[in-house]
Amino acid sequence: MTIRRADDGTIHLEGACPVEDAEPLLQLLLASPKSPVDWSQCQKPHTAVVQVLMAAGAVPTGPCGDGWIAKWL
Amino acid sequence: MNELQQQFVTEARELVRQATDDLISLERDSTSAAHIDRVFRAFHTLKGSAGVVELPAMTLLLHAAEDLLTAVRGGSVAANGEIVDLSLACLDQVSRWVDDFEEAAALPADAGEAARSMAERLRTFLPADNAAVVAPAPKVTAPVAKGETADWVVRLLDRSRDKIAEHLRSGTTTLHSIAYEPIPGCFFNGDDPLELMRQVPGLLAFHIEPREPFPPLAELDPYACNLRLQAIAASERDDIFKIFRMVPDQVRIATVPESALPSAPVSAKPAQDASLIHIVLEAQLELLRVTDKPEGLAGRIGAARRTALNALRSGGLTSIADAVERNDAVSDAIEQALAGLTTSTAPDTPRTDTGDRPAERMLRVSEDKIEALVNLAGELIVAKNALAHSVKATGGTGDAALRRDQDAIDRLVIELHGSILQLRMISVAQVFRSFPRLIRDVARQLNKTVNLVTQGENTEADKTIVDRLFEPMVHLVRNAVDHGIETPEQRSAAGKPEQATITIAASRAGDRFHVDVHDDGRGIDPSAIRRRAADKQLLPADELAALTDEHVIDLIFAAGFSTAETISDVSGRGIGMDVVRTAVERMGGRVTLASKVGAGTSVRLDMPMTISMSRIMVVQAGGQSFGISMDAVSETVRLSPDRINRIKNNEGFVLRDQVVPVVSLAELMRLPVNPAAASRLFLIAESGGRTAAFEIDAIGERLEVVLKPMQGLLSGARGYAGTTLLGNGQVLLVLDVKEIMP
Repeated sequence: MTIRRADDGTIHLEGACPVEDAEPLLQLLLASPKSPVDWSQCQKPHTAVVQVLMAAGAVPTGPCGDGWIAKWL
Repeated sequence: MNELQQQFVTEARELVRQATDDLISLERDSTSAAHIDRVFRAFHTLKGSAGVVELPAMTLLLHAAEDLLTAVRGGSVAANGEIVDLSLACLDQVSRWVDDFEEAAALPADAGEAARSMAERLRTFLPADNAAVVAPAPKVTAPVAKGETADWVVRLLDRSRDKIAEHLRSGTTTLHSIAYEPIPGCFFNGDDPLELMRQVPGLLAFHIEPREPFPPLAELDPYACNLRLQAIAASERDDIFKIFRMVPDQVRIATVPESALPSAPVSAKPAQDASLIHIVLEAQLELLRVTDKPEGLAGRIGAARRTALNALRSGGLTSIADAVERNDAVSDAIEQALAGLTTSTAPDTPRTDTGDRPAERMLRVSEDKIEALVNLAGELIVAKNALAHSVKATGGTGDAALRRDQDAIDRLVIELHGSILQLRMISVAQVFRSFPRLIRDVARQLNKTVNLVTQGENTEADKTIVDRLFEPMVHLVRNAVDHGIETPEQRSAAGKPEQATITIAASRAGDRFHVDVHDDGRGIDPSAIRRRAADKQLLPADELAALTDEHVIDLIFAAGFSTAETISDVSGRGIGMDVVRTAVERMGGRVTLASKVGAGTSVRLDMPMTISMSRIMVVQAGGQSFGISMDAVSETVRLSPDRINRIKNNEGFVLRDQVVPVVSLAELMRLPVNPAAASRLFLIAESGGRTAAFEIDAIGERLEVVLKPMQGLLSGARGYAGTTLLGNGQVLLVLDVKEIMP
């Protein structure tokens, strides 16, 4: 599992987040829309995962662990 | 075959057809950029799809054709007849391969060889220098017209002006814009659009946004891609294309014209304004969020509102400004204004590929399913008729509610049947579409120049009719080009333009459907027909002499008649017009012809709009019921026996100055003939220009029925148009009046 919710409520995206992660991420965000999202440990998030973040209007904290994403998104 | 391959087959056929149309239009108007572009695009898309289903031979051939079209588009090669011929041959080849692929999921073994030799031929038309430098890598269409840059490109350039300026100082690579709109199902295809973008070398600017506004989160389908990715990159077009080679249909790559580069910020101002207003508004929000100094809050609110209003109004965004003014909650108002600002200045990606027809939303349903529906509706009609029968059997004592329900069911069934038949209505465009090519080929073969005008392509008729229309029309059109139209020399000698015109027009007239084929050729000379008919002994000399000119012209529909002096490849094998008449009459239609010597010939096919429902009349003869199509029945008459004259072995009577022969239907059907009564009942029928009176015992009801063709052992039986089920379950034989005519 590369998507998890920490005890403080923060949703963490870690490692490679493949396309399958889009659904659990969406579920977490639906359950608590205001949760902070931390993607500083995330590598190569799939487009579907990024799309869920965009649709939720989530502004992840910190730069993305993925340099390309951090630079361009 | 998997779904992707099936989709390829369908699309490839469509593209071949479209490219054929456009090539012919291009030949007519060789300078039209729109036609060239469309032909090019069709070839290009075909090539891309062939690559996706891994057909290298097809890709190779289409690639060569595309190179040639690139040269045509660039103006270095003129789109002459030879090039159009070759491109059409190329499409024919592709079309055959698509058929092979559909059948065997592979191309024939010699496909590679065929592709190479045809590609060689295509390349001989390329200018020498061009042929040498043709890159093996595919070219990408440039959707943006010269001198015109998409708004989003301008915005992206503006946003990354520093980076771009830096690049311009150091690098020499041309800038390319990439607009990538992944299809919604792309995730299921294993695509990761960001991953593709990541591979683009020399990326200078990148933007990602939803294609449609995102729905509320609860309704979001996380696996449907709703994104648009845009980028500017300093890299070679071919390198970019290689990255997107699997999604050629979803990506548009264009060269960024120098005029659009930041050194010449032409249209960058509005974008700049919008971003400036954005900054001002955000600063106001920031100001309002400062909560640790409550003392100045009221003043800050007022100041923030005024600043926001000024910024918005100066930017010409008065409607947003008004909304802010009306809203008492200033920070909410500013937040809303910010949101409004984003949408109102959101990149409106215009469709840059001008000339593209807007895609119609269509549902593809297999013909079998429609056919099953039509059959069911037909059976429902029978059930409806049976219900009517049962209600009648209650002898009028049935209660009112039953009758009311029956009326409602009647109406609904008829409506349902009508709507289902509508599903089978298709436009004649698909039949008409074959003719530009046909006429062009035939005319070139005969060294004639013919312009085709089509009218009413959108007229709809039942699929069966439209499908069967092709064969008679091919004969008509070939005849027109071969026999009707003179050689250019003959035409100019006759004071006509060298280019002849053939008009094909479809139209509706009530529940009939007309197709007219008109040519402005030499027309039909009745005296030539008379000579030919006499030579072929089609009619005895005295009968022939008695015919009027109109009737003489009608003789060309007779079997075995051909007026062409020589038998050509094109037509004139002594069949043709009789085939036309038979084919049209089989559909319940009529053919009429009008011609004027020197001015041309018009042929009209008059057909029913649908053939699924027939109106019939039930008649009794020899103790049996028969159906007769109402189309053939002109009237019924009851006569006293003394009105009937016996001429040798035949009976007949005079009706409105015309002698009408009498045929006893019972006798014809080998049934016992009823003894003569006080008056005799006749049904006057007309077919093929002849009239006859069929003697019958009684007339029954008139019905709308679904006619089933004779099947099995009876399929060869002559004299019957088909069968239908009556309400009481009885099978009714429906007579084919044309075949039983004396």
